Amino acid sequence: MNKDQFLTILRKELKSMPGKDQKELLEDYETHYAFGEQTGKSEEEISLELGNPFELAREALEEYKRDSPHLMKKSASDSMTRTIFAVIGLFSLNFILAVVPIGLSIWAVWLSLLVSAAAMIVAPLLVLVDFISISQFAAGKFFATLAISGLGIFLLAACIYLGKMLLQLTKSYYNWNIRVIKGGN
Amino acid sequence: MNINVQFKKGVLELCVLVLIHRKERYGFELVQQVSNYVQVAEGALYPLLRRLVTEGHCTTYLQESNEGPPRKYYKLTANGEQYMQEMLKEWNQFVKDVSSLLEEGVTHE
Repeated sequence: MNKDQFLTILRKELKSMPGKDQKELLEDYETHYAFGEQTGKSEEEISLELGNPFELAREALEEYKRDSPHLMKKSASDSMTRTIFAVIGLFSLNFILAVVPIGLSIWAVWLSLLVSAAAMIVAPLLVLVDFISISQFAAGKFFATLAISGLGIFLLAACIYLGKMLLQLTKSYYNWNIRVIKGGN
Repeated sequence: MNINVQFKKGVLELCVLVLIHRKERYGFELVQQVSNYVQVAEGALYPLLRRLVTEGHCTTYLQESNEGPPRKYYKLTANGEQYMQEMLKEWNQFVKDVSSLLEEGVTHE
């Protein structure tokens, strides 16, 4: 194999490496030939010593990925179609299969529970208002609202617990969406 | 075979670091030096050198020469020297462990 054949194979195999890095690496090999020829070797001998260009390209890509995985070009057309399909798929999942509306209504239910809990907790205050406006104190009413207030506290605790769970769920669903679009695993 | 390749790669890295540490050298020279001692596909050293540069263990500079193309010299950074010392320590420990295992193996049988 002569120098041109060797470099052509390398260039082809390294095409997923960004232009600048690929060019520099190819230049390294090219100058290697120049130095080698100075010592009186033929291009064929030098190619032989350099090793199998397919193998070298594979190893070079591996080394490169170790340091700059984010710079690796996914073959451009591939990643483009992938992203488009991911967006279409997620859109139908989210809106046609109604994951987002359902999610929003679950949150709405949670919110109304939270508001109810708050209202129940402050119920005894309403008796106070009652007392001020009609100057009448009904002990029965007051104890009933105290009981309601107690229930409200339980409901609030449940709401907080539920809210944390929902938040977790929403977050992981959101992250999953992002991951799918970005094309990670 | 595969383990062998990985293993060789790590060792090659150490060899290259030590060679550069001893004296700033250019790529072709490094490749010759290494292949004097270790049987290796010479081309494998260039990606390795590039990685050492991107990881900040080495820097490069060009120097014109009377014969042939300008030479790209590799120089160890402070970071690279520290990295080399750590690798050396690990390597020595590894060699020690393996040889004591081998010796025991031989004497016990």
